Amino acid sequence: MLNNVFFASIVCFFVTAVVQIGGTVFKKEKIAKTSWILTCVSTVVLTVYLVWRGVEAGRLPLANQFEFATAFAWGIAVMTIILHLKMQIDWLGAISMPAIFLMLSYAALLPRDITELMPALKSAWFGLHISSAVFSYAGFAIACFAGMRYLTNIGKGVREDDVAMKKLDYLMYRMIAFGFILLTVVILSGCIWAEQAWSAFWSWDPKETWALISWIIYAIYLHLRINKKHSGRKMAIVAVVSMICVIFTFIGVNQLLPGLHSYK
Amino acid sequence: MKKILNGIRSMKFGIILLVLIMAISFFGTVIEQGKAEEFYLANYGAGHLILALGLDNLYYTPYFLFLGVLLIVNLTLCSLVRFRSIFHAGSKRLAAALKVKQGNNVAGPQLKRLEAYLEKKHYHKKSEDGQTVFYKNQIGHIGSFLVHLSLVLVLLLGALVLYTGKSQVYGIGYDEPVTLEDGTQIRLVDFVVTDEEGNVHYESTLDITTPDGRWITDATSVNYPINFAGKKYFQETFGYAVQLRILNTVTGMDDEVHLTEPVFLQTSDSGAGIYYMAAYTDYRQEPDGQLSILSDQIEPGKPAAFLISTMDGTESGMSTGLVEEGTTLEVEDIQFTFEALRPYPGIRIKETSRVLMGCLYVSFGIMIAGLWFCFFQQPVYITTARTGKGGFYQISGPRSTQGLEMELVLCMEESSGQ
Repeated sequence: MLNNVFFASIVCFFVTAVVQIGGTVFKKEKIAKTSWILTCVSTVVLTVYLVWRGVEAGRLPLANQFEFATAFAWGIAVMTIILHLKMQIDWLGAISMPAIFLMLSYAALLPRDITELMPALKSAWFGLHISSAVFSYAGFAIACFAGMRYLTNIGKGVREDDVAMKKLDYLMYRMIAFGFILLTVVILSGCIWAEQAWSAFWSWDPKETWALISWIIYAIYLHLRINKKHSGRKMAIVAVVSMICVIFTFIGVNQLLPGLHSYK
Repeated sequence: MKKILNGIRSMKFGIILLVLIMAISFFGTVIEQGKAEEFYLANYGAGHLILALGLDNLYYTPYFLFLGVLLIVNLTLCSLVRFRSIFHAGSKRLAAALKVKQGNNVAGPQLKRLEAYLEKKHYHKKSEDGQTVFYKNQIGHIGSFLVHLSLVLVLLLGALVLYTGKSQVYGIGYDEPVTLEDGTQIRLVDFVVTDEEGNVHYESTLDITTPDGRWITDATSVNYPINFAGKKYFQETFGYAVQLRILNTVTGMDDEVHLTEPVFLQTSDSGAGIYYMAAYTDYRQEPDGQLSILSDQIEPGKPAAFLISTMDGTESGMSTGLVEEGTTLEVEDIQFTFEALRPYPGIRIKETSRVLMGCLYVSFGIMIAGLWFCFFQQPVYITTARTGKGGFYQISGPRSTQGLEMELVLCMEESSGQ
């Protein structure tokens, strides 16, 4: 039954993605409204799945690659809804919904068994460390989507001093600032946790190192954005390219560079 | 000199350092770290180059550490420069905002609505010479300084914790209490690898006695180290020991030992005895009754067998083979009974200054607070003034005010629509 809910959420997000893209292409008010309702419904289905899984497991469903991928997709969905409500951003769904569908499809390829937490994960820091990572990555993903939109608009001939473009640029910056703070929380809480579990704050484990690499990249972005007043196309490219680093930290490191964080 | 200092403290230099650290860290993840020389020569085409450049232990090479030192210098100088200005930044910005003479022109009613909106949003207000400045988040001026300061502290304190702390792993057997250099004695009371429900759970119960007579019996498990008398006791590793009962059938002397590594237990001067080599849990019995090993991995809960040699004192009298749990071997007058395979822990004992650790944790807190002030408590100053029938407003601040500009335009538009 639990698996059925998971697959139902994948189907929901697929339909939502198709309708969202349709709404963007045809620019019909009715399709836009339908896609918004579908976004909310899909997110609710995924939320139900995660809560249910959490209750069955007796812990937060963030313990392995499958659970993190699902939670990451959920984080993007929640942020899409929040941004829609708070900033009236209506284009986001057309990018975020297909991305969520892809992320859930990737998750579907991974083992879904609910397993007992391994000793190293039984810690008070578990929730803070990993849920911060979920929202941090979600923030970076939204910034990447905004960057993609920005670059596409340039391709379509939209001027960079257009108000909509300034809004996109600002959204990128805010999402990266938000993700950066949370990534800092991830790294620092991870240091404290590592000291308790493995007796060392930092072990240069591949996951730690790639988290640091991501942190440095976004730190450079923020310095250029704030102090050097860089904005626009260059920063949009950085936001998109940086996301590759985040995705590698999340998927690539687990698959290619095993270490202390290999909780497949 | 001033030019050099300015160069070292510049953001450009800081970014170059970060990019270099990032690039080196990248290589550290693709080249396996801390392996033996032979490993690199056998597995990497450029094994010699890797060893020559120290890429096998990259994060401890002089050039990587030097980059870290340069980053600390860069951040320190940068923080010092910021420190001079942060305390006056708020008042300077406010004074400058009060002197603004032009900005975005708006109609009188819109300006009124804007001011009402800002008051509703609890902005502070200061008026002078017909100009009004609405401002908030002055604490945001210290955000950037706090972030840079905390980074310096984290790097320095982290290095101090690393280089001043003492840390070592001790295998603690059941009948082998460990005495540390300072006289602290550690005795293993119990060690389990699974909890009552059968889930993996490594937990050692230790008796710890300090030289001054302080004493504790406590359990240490992964994530929950014992913290006692300035030392931390971490559950780090574990191994398996063979629990062996030795009975002298003549004297009746009975003893129990735990074997963790190959050892020869001699029964007499004749050279007779048993030679214990290793224990296995993955084996099968062949049709001829012999036991053969399938894997050298030990899995808890499975019956064990031990590879031993028994010797009767002559070269021809040696027999080697696997012996199952519960078996008794008799050599001369001594009976060796293999009772069980018993896990024993490897405990890491770490001694670090509590003050340093406390300061490090405080630095972590400062960094998060600094980032929060930096990005979510951005200082803003909005000057409003009336000119003739309308007026103007002007937003200023040390950071991007793009979001606020949009918010204010939106608020005035909404107001106009009402």
